[in-house]
Amino acid sequence: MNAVPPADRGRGRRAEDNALALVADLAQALASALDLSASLNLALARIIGALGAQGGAVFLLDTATRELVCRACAGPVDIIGLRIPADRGIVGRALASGQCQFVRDAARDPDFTGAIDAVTGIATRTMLGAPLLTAHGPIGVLQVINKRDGALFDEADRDLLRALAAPAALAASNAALTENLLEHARIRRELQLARRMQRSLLPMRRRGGYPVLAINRPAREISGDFYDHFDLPDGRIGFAIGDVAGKGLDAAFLMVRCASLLRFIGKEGLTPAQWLARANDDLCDTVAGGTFVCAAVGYFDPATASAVWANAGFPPVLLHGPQGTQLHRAEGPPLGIVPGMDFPQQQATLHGRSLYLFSDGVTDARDASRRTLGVDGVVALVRRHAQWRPETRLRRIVGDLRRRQLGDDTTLLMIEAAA
Amino acid sequence: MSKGCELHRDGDWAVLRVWGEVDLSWSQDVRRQVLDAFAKVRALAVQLDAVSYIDSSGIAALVEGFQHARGKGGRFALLAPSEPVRAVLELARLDRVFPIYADLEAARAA
Repeated sequence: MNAVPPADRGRGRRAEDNALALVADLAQALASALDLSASLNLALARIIGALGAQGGAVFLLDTATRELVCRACAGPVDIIGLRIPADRGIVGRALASGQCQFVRDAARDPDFTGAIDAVTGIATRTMLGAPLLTAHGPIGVLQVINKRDGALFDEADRDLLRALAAPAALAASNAALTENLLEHARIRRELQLARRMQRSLLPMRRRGGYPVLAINRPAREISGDFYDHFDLPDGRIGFAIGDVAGKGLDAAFLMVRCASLLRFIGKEGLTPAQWLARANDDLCDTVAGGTFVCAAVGYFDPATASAVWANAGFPPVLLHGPQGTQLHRAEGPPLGIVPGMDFPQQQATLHGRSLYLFSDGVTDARDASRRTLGVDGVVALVRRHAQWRPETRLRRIVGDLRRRQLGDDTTLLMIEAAA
Repeated sequence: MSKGCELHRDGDWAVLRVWGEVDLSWSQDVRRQVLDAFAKVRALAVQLDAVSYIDSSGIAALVEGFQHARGKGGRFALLAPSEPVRAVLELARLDRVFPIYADLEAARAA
């Protein structure tokens, strides 16, 4: 081992102390960074100062385009926003290999492209590139070029850069996570807003023995199901229930459109058959391919306790009373597929009986062994709770459904003449 | 549980054989195959004898195929729907929409 003169030993110790202080300073600054680009810019200025480098930059990976984007830089030319392919150049090699790149003479490196020099006008002679490593793989590269004094970077420079790359990687990955969280929160807020808007379309619950009761439980924030009821001037009550094929935003938008359309036509007092035929022709003209709506609409006349309805591909309408249960299956196909269809009417007098309309999210509710409830299961459910008054009955039926796995929006509408 | 779909040519028709439970988790694959088929042929039959369950997203893929054929003057048919599929089609009265046949020969002759 060579003896180190006392004076040099002192200088070495001071350099080490300075490096350690720099790592500690930057680690602390980056850990508490709120504005990532600003913090990285400040960190870079100190890094190139400590290494005596001419310039430096932080490139972060844009996973959508597989490009490295300059997010911070220090040096004579501002290259923030510069994009380079993630799989090329020495910077790309640092990212792909996850290893610090130590290039003594850039011109002789086979991967050197000069792409950044072309923008900055600075000739890269010597370079260090440290990957920013996270638990989910490399997310970028911290790079410095050219010693001011014309010397080459050495091992001590490389080790210092590696030490500084660690807190920079943490700060960048934290910032990305925070951005993600904020984006999620924003989407959630918008979905909640969409949900509130949808709910506001559903009629308010009417108390005091109103003959129509309904409930809608979306599988997610927003629903493709809807129900409606409204009073006509002659005392009859119009009702509608529907299920838009599909889930998510497009189904939710069509639900809004369809609910408004059915209410608009229903208030004209046409027969249920005409009501659905009009809605069908309108939807066939306007909805996109593969989209359709299953719906049942009708009127209930409290004066005579008679109900008349038509059904377009909606699950069977269930009539339940002390004498037993009847199922009225749909006679028309869903709305929005073929124009010019007819929708035959069905009717019943409800004296002492109740009419139940339920979306297929109810029949598709699965038990622990993944068996679906089916129409027979719904009939059994209605029978089990038949002795309760309407509000309690509906609540108990929904309570039983919630003990199952509901993969779809579930909607129930019930009509019962006041006793 | 096995599920999937496979497209083959039979003269001027294409036949898409679908099997297993068709639900939201992969009904997009069925939809894509249906639309891909119409890029190559004007007549498509979807064979449904081995489908044990179909949800509304699966039905939507079939409806899109039907509408595509209708718009372009092509043909679309369902072949030999299994009991569970037939029950869904009949309950929603989609048997009034889709041409349904026992086999491709019957669809061809219609």
